[in-house]
Formats: sequence, C-alpha cells, structure tokens
Amino acid sequence: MRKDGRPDHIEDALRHMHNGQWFGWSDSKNKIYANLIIYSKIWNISYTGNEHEEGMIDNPYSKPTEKECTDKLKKLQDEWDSKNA
Amino acid sequence: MAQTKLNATLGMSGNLPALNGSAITNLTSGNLSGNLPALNGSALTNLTSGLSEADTWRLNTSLNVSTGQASLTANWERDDTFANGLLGTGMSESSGVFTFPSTGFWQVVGNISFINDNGGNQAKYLGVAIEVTTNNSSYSEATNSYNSNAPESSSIYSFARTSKILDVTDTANIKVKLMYLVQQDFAVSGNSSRNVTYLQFTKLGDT
Repeated sequence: MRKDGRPDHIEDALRHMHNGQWFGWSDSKNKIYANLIIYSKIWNISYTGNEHEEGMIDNPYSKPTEKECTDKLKKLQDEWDSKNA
Repeated sequence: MAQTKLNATLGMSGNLPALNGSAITNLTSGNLSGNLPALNGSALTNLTSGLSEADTWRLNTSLNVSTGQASLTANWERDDTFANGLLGTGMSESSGVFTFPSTGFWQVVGNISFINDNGGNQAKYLGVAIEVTTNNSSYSEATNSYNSNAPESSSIYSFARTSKILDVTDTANIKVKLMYLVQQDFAVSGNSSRNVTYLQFTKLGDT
C-alpha cells in the first residue's frame, strides 16, 4: 500500500478478503503470488458478553486464485481512486 | 635497631622497592595530589560489559482485524535489514510466543502500527499489550497502552507502544506474546523491510 493509502500490492487484496492472520509468505522479501501460503491453523477469538475464548482453529479460508487476487486489488484501487478523485 | 623515622634530607638514596597494590589499603585523599596516570585497558580485568543481548522481531505481513483483541501468532521474523543489530543469542519464536535465551532482567518493548486505508469512523482505542505467562500456559496482559484517532475520510495511521521489564528467572515458563486491541475494524501493519509492528528485547543484567 502506498503511504497515501492507495492499495498497490496483492497483500492489500488478501487482507481485505478476510480478517486475521490466515495467510503469509514463504519468502517475505519476495511477496508474489507463487510465494503465498495459507496457514492450516489460525488464531481465533470468540466472544460471549464480556468473556472471550481464544485458541487455534482450522483455517476456514482457502487459497484464492491469482486472478481473484488481482481482481480484488483492482476493485480496491478503483474504490480508492473514486473516493480520492 | 628498629628505625621508626627516616629523615629524607639525610642519607637516603636509591630506588624504592616496587609497591604491591594489595598492600595498600588506606590512602588519605588529602595527602594525594597530581594527576592519575593513564589507565591501560589491557590491565583491567574482571570487568563485564553492560549489555549482552538485544534483539528485534517484527511482523512481516499486514492483516485486517475486526473489533476486539487477539495475539499476533504468525508472520514474525527477526529484523534483518538496514544494519540490523542482533547482540547475543537472541530470542526464539514459535506461533507468536517468544522464549528468552537466558535468565535475567529483560526489557521488552512492543509496538503496533495501525492503518485504516479507507478512512472511516473514529476508533476510540487502538491498543497494544504485552502478554506474559509465568507457567508456559496461561497469559495475562502485563501491560497495555492505547491510542485513538478522529474520524477521517482518507487513510489513517496510528500506533501504540508499551514496555515491560521482566525478571526472567525461568526461561521454560516465562514467555511473552504481543496483542492488539481495537475498537473499530482496522489493519495492523506489517513489513519485511522496516520495523512497523515489532517486539524489541534487551537484556539489562543478570537476575
């Protein structure tokens, strides 16, 4: 993401698909689709009133296709451009 | 005959014997004058350096978060850019749990950078907490610190930072995690080049 907030990377698209740490990179210095990894377990918190429980659960999210990532990024960019025109 | 008083103006010559420092136990400061000789570092022994451990770990991937709180359990990496400094052994990390390499007094600094790239409503709090366990099982919020932001139509940045000095007497049971606490949907910022959300560990001394 640029400093002005305009999305410019598929990581921006991925984090807008689902909340939490459901994905990562096999090479954090080279964040390309080929290096995208989806974790088998993720940290989860469930709330009941003021109480909460947390722990690892199976990751309910699957790996998006590369096209889904680029389409999502394009959508976010269009939204940002429209809002900041 | 035992000599109890020598007169320096009469009949004294030659060199004094070498003085043994261990035999000098009491000097009266009023009788001392002049400058101290230069100290030679190689002659100084039994000195220990002040710090033996310093390490920084950072989140390398951003994530969106919804209202609530959670530990950051993935995507941690050791700072490895821009002349990063790792002093000593360093921490070990597994699923966001950080283990100390040795007992001692440790300072832990936690920082979380937040961003809402589309702007939005006011977040009354954007917080960070250092969670500590003393039994390698249940964690408590040992510290927390909060920031907030006004409603904005464009991207919003914020951060929260907190710190704690721990007396780590048992490395198997005393461990830490980093937690975010947010009142609005926001993003926690991660980066693999720069430290934006990070934990910094410095060993201050032995326990």
